[in-house]
Amino acid sequence: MTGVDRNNVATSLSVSALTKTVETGGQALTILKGVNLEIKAGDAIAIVGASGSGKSTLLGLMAGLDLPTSGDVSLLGESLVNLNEDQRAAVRARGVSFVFQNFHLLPGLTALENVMLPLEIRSVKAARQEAKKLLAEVGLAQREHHYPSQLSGGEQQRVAIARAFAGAPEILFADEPTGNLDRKTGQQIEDLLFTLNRDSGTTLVLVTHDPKLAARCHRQVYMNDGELFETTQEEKAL
Amino acid sequence: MTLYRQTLLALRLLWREARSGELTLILLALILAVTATTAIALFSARLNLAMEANANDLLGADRRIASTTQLPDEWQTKAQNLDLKTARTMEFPSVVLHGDEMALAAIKAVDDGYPLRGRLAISPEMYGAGDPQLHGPQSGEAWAEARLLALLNVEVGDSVELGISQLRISGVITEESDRGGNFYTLSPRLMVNWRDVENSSLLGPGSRINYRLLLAGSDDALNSLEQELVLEPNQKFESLDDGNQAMAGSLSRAKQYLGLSALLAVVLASVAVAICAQRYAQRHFDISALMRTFGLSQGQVLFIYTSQLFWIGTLATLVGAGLSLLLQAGLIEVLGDLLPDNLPAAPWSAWLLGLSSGLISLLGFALPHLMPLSRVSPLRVLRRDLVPVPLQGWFLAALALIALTFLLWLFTADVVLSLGMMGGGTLVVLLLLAMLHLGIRLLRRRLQNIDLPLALRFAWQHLSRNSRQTAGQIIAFALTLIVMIVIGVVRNDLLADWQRSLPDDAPNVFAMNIQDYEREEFSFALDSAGLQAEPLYPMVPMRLVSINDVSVTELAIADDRAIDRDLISTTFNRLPDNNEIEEGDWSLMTSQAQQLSVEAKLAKRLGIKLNDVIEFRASGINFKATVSSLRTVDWGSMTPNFYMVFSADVLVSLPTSYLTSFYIPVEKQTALTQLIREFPGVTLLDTRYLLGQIQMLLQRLTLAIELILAFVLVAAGLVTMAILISSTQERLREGAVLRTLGASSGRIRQAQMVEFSLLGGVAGLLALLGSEAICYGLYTALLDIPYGGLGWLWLWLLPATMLVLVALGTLLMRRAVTVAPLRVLRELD
Repeated sequence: MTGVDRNNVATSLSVSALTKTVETGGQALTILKGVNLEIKAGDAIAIVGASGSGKSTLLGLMAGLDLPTSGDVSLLGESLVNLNEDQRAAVRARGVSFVFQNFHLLPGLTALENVMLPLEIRSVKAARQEAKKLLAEVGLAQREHHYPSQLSGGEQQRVAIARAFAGAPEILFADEPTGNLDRKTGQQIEDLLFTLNRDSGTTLVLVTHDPKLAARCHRQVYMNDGELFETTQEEKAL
Repeated sequence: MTLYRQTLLALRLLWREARSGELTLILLALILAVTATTAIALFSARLNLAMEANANDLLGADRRIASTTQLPDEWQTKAQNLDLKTARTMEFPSVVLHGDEMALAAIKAVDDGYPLRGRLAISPEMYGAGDPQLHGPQSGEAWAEARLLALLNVEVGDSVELGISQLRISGVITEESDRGGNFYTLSPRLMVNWRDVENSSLLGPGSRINYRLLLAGSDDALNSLEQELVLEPNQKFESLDDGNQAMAGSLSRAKQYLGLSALLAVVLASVAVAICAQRYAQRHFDISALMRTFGLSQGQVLFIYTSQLFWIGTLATLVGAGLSLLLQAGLIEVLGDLLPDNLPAAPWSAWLLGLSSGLISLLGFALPHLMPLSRVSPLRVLRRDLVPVPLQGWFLAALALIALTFLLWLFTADVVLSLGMMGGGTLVVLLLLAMLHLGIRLLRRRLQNIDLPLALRFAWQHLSRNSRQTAGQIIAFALTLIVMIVIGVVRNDLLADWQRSLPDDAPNVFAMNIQDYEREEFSFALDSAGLQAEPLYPMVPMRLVSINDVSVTELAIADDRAIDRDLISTTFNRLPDNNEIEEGDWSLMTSQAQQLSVEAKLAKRLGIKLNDVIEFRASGINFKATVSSLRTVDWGSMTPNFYMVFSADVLVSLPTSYLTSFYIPVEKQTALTQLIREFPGVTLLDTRYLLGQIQMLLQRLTLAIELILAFVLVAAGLVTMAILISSTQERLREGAVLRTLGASSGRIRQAQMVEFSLLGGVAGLLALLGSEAICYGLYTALLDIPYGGLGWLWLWLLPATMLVLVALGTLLMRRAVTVAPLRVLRELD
C-alpha cells in the first residue's frame, strides 16, 4: 500500500489485511483478497472498479454493515471486528452516514421528515430547524412537504444528501450516488456532495464506476478482482 | 436513546406513516376484528341475558323453591334480607262448582308479590285481548281460563264455589307464562288470592299441594340463599335448566351458534390481521435496514415496531369499541319489537372479551411477522435482495394457534370445546396445506414440458413461482370461504331443524282422558270440525314396582322423581317419527308378548338395561314386562310422548283411556268450546300460548342469526379485499413491467383473470373439502343434528368463487392496465 501522507491529520478509517469469502452454490468465492487502506479525516476518496470487483462489499465492511472473514476495520478509532451488530450500530450512530444509489428515502415520510429522522434517532433537539436548513442548502426549501414519490430522481437524491449531512457526520459513505441519475442531474448532485464535503470537513468515501466522478476526489483507489491498487491524481495524469 | 425518546420516535414515525396512508389497511383490518368480535360479544351477551330472562318467564322467577309441604316463613324473610324479591304460590287440584256444574280445576293461589317474572294477562271477556297484570286477583275474586268458564257455563262476573269460599270471576286468563308444568296433569286454571285459601279446609291433610317460593334478584344473592337453606328431600331449588325442554334445546343451540359465529369472526379477523402484518413487515424491511445504518440497535428497532403495533392496536380497539356500539344499536333498532323492551346491559366481561380480541390477535398474528424486522441486515441498504430469515413456520403457527385458542376459550369459556375446535381446525388447515403443496409440485412437474396458452402460462408461473405466498393466499381465501360455508350451512340446518320440530301446524291442543266408549265419537267430532289429529294413543298411568325382582324402594334410585309417580304408558302400532330405537329390537314388540320399550334417558337414570324384567302396578294390578328396546324421544315435538311403551298384549287387561293432540287454527276457536261442551269428561289442554312463546323465541333467534350471518359475510368480504390488496403492489409492478415489454393490456388482463380464477377455484375446492370435515365434526359432536353433506354447494360454489375473485381482482388491478407503466413503477419504487 502506498498511502498518501497527510501528516498531522487523524485517521478516520483504516482497513488492514481485509478478506471476505462467501459461499455460493457450495463454492467458496473470495471477494476481497487482503485489502489495506487508510483514510485521513476530511479526505475524499473514490473507490473505483468494474461491477463485481468487490467495491460495494468493501464499503459495507468499512461501514460495519457486515463482518469480514479476516482482517480488521477501524472506524472512528474503534476496531469493528470484535463488536457485535448492535455495538457496530452504536459506532455508526456516533458519526457515520450514507448516500445510496437508489436513495432509500422512506416512502411514508415527507422530504422534511426523511431528513429529520437520523437527527431524531440521535436525539437532536432542534431536529426540525436543522432539517429545514439542510433542505434549503440542497435547494429544496419549497418541497419540504412532498413525499418521495412526488419528487424527481435528482430531487430524491438531494433529500438523501441532506439527510446524510444531518447531524454533521464524521464520515460519509456514498454508493454510486449518481448511478441512477442522468448526466446533468448527476453533475448537480456531485457538485452538491463535494461542496458540502468541503464545507463540513466530513470524510467522504465514494464508491463508483464513473471515472469522471472519481476524478473529483483527492484520492482514487482501484478495485480489481478483490485487490486494491492505490493511485494519486498525479500518477493518474501520467 | 432513552425509552422515552424511543417511544416518542415510534409515535412520531407512526403518525407520519399513518398520514401517508401506509397504515390504513392494517388499521382497517384490526378495527374490523375488534368491531366484529365486540359487537357479536356484546350482542350475544345481551341477547343471551334477554333470552334467559324470557326463559325465566317460564319459571316465573330467576330461581324458585318447590316443595310438597308448606315452606317455612323465615325462608322468605331470609331471601328478602338478601335483597331478593319473593312471591309465594301454591297449586293444587280441586273441584270448582257453579250451580249444578262442576269441573276439576288446577287452582293456583298467589300472594301479593306475584307475578315476579314473566307475564300474566287478563281479559275482561271470553277470548278477548289480554291486559298485562302486575298483581294476582284480589281477595274474593278469581281469574279463570276460558275453558274452565266454558265447562262451568259461567260468564265474567258470575261467582263460583271453591271449598267454602264464593269467588267472583273478575277476569279471563289469557297469558300465564309460568304455567309450564306437566301437560298430562293440567286441568284448566283458576287463579285465586293466597288469603282466600290460606286457612281453608282445602289444605287439609292428604291434599296434593305444590308450594313454591319464587325468587328474583342477583345471582350472588340467589347462590348464597341456596347455600344457606337446608332443604328436605321433598323440596328442591328449580332453575332454568329444569324448564321446558323444547325451549331449552333451541336456546342452547342458538347460544352455540352465536358462540360459533363469534369464533369464526375472530378467525376471519385474525387472518386479515396476519395478512396485513406480513405486508406491513415486507414494506418496512428497507426502513429497518436504514434505521440500523443510522445507528439504531436491533432491540431499538424491535421496540419501535412493537410499540407502534401496540398503539395501532389501542387505536383500533378504541375505534372498534365505538363502532361496535353503533353496530349493536343498529342491530337492536332493526330487531325492534322482537327484542324485549328493556334489553339488559351487556356485562363488562363481554366488553373485555371483544376489546381484548384486537390486542390478542395482534400478539398472535401480527407480532411474529414484525419480529424479523429487527433482524434485517443493515447491509440491505446496499443489497436489496437481503431479506431477513422469516421466523420458522411452526413457530408462527404455534403462536397463532395459542392466540386463537386463547380467544376461543375467552369466547366459549369451554376449554374442551376450544381445544377441540383448534385441534380440528389445525388438522384441516394442515391437511389443506399438504394437499396444496403436493398439488402444486405435481402440476409443476407435469406442466414443465407443455406449451400452455400464454395467459395461462403467465398465471401459472406467477402462482407457482411464489408458492409460499400463493399457498398463504389460497389458505386465507379457503378459510374465509370455510367460515362463510359453515356459518351459512349451520344456519340453514338449525332453522330447518327448528321448523321441522315446530311446524306452523304443530299440534297445539292435547286431549286426554278420552274413554274407550267415546273414542269413535271424539274422532268423529274432530273430523267433522275439520281438525287434523294425531292417532288416539291408549294411555295407562302406572307406577314402577321392581326391576329384576328388586323393589325400587330398595334400589339406589328410590329418590328418583320417576319413582312414586304415575308414568304414562302406551302401546304403538308402529314407531312414531320422533322416536328412535337406540338399542334393542323393536320388532320383538309385535312378535313376542310382555315386551317393553323404555325411553333411553330414563332407562339410563334408573339403570334399566336390555332384557331387564320390570314390574309395574296399574289400577291395583301388578304385571311384568321384559325390556326389549331403548328409545330416544324428541321431547321438543308437540305430539304425545311416552316413557314406557308396551307390546299391545300388556295393556289389554288394564283400564285404558286415550290421548291425542291436534292443531286448532285461531279461526276455529269455537270448535274448541264446542268440544269442551260436548265431551266434558275429556281434558283439553290448550298449549297455544306456550307454543306461541316458543315460536316467538325462535323467530327472534332466527333474525339474530340472520343478522350475524350477514355480519360475518361482510367481514369475509373485507378479508377477501385485504388479501387481494396485499398482493396488489407486486401485481401492479408485474403488469407495468410486462407492458413495458410490449404486452397488450388485453393480454395482461387475460392473464390476471386466469390467475384469479385459478386462485378462486383451488381455494373453493379446498374450502368445500374443509367445510365437509368441519361441519361433520360440528354436527355430530356439538349440535347433535344429523349431517347431510354440503349438497348443491358443490355445484355452484366453485364458479361463484371464481367469478367473485375475478371481478374483484380485475377491479383492483385495473391500474395495472390503464395507468402509464412508468408512473406505476415510479410510485411503487
